[in-house]
Amino acid sequence: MSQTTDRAGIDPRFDPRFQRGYVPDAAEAPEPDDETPVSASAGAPAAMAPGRVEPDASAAASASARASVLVPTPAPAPPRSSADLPATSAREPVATSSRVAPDDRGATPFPRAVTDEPAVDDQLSAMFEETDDEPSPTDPWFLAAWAVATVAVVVGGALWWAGIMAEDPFGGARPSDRWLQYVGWVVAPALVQGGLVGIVAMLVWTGVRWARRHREPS
Amino acid sequence: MTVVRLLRNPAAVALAAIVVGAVIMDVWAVRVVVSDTGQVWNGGQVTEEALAAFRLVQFANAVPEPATLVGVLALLGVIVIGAVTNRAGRPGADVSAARAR
Repeated sequence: MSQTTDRAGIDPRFDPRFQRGYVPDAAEAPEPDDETPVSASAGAPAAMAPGRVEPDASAAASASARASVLVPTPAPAPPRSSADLPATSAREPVATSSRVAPDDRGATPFPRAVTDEPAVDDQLSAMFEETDDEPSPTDPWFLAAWAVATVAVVVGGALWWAGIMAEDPFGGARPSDRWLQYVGWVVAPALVQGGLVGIVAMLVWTGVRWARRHREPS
Repeated sequence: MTVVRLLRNPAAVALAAIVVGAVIMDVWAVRVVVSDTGQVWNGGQVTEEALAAFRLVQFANAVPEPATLVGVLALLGVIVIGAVTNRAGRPGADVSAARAR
């Protein structure tokens, strides 16, 4: 961090002409002997590092004032593998395709896209993969669904039949049987139909799973 | 070939049985309701047979609606399973391969 904010906010690793706080007069001033050339320290081409940064007092003061405003950008961490990335949102895999990779000097002047599309594809395919073995037919929730459907059919049928039996076309229904008739007319058909539809739906799902698992070898 | 593999599917066989059962229940219920003479309302003597016939008609009246619904849904389920069976039986049909395309 201290190297990136060297002297008046000028990063010695890059061409000072393209950095904020650069003063042309200060760049042309002579430098002390103990100053290491930019091109030698950073390994940049000579065309990219024409001179050294040695501002005079006034330029240094103004540059330091501007540098106080600047916020140095920390070098990002090394790129992570796609397996380490949490798959919490749908937009995150898109962001991983343009991750930042440091160059040979260890600096990251700007994010650079790295072609890692196969890894992203693997992650997306794993995210949306159609897992055929989940949930299992012996899963407790699946068995509970079967039980609920069966109980609905049995209870609905019993209420239905009890309502029919409680109906007396000659003597009228007793007051104690009126609730049973009402439940048998209103609730019982819905219970029976819901349970039967649930059974059919789970049979369809089971059959689809069976067909997928028992596909013929190609 | 698809039909043969469909017949090996226990769930498809159960759904087909439900379809057949729904059709049978519909036909029976319609016949019972249509053949009802209504003698219990004609001032005749109230007997156990007349009361049982009345309750049977009451039951048959309520059967066609859920039976038809379940039968149609079961038939759709058989068709869906047949489609999956046909797709799974094609040469080279693989879920991952299809997704890769």
